[in-house]
Amino acid sequence: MTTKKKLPLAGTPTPASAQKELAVTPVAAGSRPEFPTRGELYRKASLLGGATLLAGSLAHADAPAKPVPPPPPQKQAMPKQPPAETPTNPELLAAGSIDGKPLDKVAPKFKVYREGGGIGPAEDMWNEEEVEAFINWTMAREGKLAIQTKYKLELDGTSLELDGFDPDKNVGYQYVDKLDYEAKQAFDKAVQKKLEKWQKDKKVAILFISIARNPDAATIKGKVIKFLNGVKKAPPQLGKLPSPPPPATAPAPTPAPMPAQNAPAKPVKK
Amino acid sequence: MNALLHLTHDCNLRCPYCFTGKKFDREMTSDTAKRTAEFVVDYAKQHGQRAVFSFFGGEPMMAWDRLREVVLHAEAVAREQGVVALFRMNTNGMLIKEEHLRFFEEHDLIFILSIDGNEAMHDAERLTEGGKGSHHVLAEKLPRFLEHNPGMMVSVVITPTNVRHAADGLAYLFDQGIRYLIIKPDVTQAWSRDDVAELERQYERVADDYLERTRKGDELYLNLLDDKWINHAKGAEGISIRCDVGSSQISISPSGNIYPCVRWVKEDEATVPKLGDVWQGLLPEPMAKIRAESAAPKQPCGDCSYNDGRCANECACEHYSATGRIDTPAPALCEHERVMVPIADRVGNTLWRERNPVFMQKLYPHVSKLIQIRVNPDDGATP
Repeated sequence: MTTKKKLPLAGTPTPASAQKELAVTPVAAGSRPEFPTRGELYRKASLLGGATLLAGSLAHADAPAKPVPPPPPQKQAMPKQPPAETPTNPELLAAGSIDGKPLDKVAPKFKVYREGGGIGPAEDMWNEEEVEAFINWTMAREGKLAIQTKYKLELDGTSLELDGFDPDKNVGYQYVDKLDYEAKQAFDKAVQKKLEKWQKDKKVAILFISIARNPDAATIKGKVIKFLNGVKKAPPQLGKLPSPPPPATAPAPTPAPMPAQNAPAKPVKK
Repeated sequence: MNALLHLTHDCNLRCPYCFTGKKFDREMTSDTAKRTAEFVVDYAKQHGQRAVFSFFGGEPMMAWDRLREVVLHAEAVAREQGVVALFRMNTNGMLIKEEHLRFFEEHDLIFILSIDGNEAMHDAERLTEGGKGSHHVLAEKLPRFLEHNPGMMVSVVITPTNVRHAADGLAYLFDQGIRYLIIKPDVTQAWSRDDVAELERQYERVADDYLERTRKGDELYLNLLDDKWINHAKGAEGISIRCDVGSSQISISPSGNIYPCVRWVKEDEATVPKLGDVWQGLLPEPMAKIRAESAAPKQPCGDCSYNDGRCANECACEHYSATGRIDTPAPALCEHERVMVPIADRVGNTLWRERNPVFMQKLYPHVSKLIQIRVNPDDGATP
């Protein structure tokens, strides 16, 4: 360690004892937020006004404490939508499906948001499952694939669990989140090379998605489309792979389950 | 492990409110820098954590070669150990050039920029060694910084000297395209009652500005409001913004000494509590002491109705700096929070009543999605 020069002290704090005009004064009955905690909202959906119409976990919420306001007039005037197609409609499934269910009309969204603060920057957070839901949808829609999630692939003595795979067309993908160290280990460079070789040999085509920065929908969609264009030119020829055993519990119908409070999200840098 | 690294005591600015002690040219040696990287990665590995390196003041960019060395060495060591290494930096931005931005891109180093609002506000405090304002330098660089990272976070200090410019100053930052603002009042200065009254006037204007921008759909983060809302929304058991001094945060000085947090480092003359050094590691006794003190209830906040996560009384090193005790907040902090909490409640209540989509998405992300489906059933978005 070297000391070359000494410059003047920049600032001098005023000790609390010298802050004569100010005081620490607890507030006995100060202002209160009207907006609920997340727990209160989940427990009592009526706080939203009319939200008990919703299916899923909110459908079981407490009865409204007071009459709910009517929906906005323009919404009342809206024509009724035709009933949703059933999952058994083969035409609908041919346009792409996820775990045997037809696709929603629009892609599910994932949100990158920030939490924290103080000395360092707040962390960027997102939910890896939401990102995977987006990729499932995009793969299925763009490639007209019947995606099976968490697919166990056995090939050439290698066993892998893929995030999504269509065993009829032998096309799938694996998303490795930047901070998911386990997935990084499972899909290390050797495995990635194997995936490339399988595609080259026209056995299976698996898109490996690993994004150095925050995931964003446009980048992911671009990767998917580029990959699927490549697959179209050289589709896998291996033939139908055996389907994995069905999951222990059937996936819940719509809507997505409400996560517990403070469900773990990934803090990741930009 | 979030390690705040002080690579040098030197700085190219002389901000009167700076709490990091005298500015002098003492830089971390190469050996110490490498050892620091290894120490932080080892600790993270042992405790199943990420190794977060946050470069802090003096101005880290004045020790650019050393910073680069730490990043490269830490990456190599982290890779070997199977640890995720992340890099952060608090900087005044004055010395950042294109080559540095390229390095930040390559190594995912995020920097948080210290800029105190518009020229009038910034130059009231942030002066060069020669006593000149520094805003014009940053104003020129700001567009490129935002291009580099549109989510760049900015840190602003509010003092009795610059408070009268606060509303205009923060509006300027939002107008430049900055969306993430951390505002810190300097609670170690002598605020008068008039200053506090001015603070309230300014914050009311800041809050109204924020409200209007949010109504227009801007997704902003202003810690003064958002942190209070998030802490309330998460409930007492889920408060995410806590002080992690003595638990997962440490400060490492140029000499390799380890201190509880940034305000303890000062001139690094071992006259303040030390938690160890990068050669011998952390000393269990002072660690346990500081952890216990940090976790202890703040005095005399126990009965305060704002002490439910809305009051920002969590910063141990700020308390220490002002009162000499980490469990006792400064009077100026209490005054600040008594001004800010009702304002945050007012704005939050307004946005809640309006069911503002940005507000709902921030506080209740999953419920928010369902509300949108109910309101607009033909957009096809089912959860």
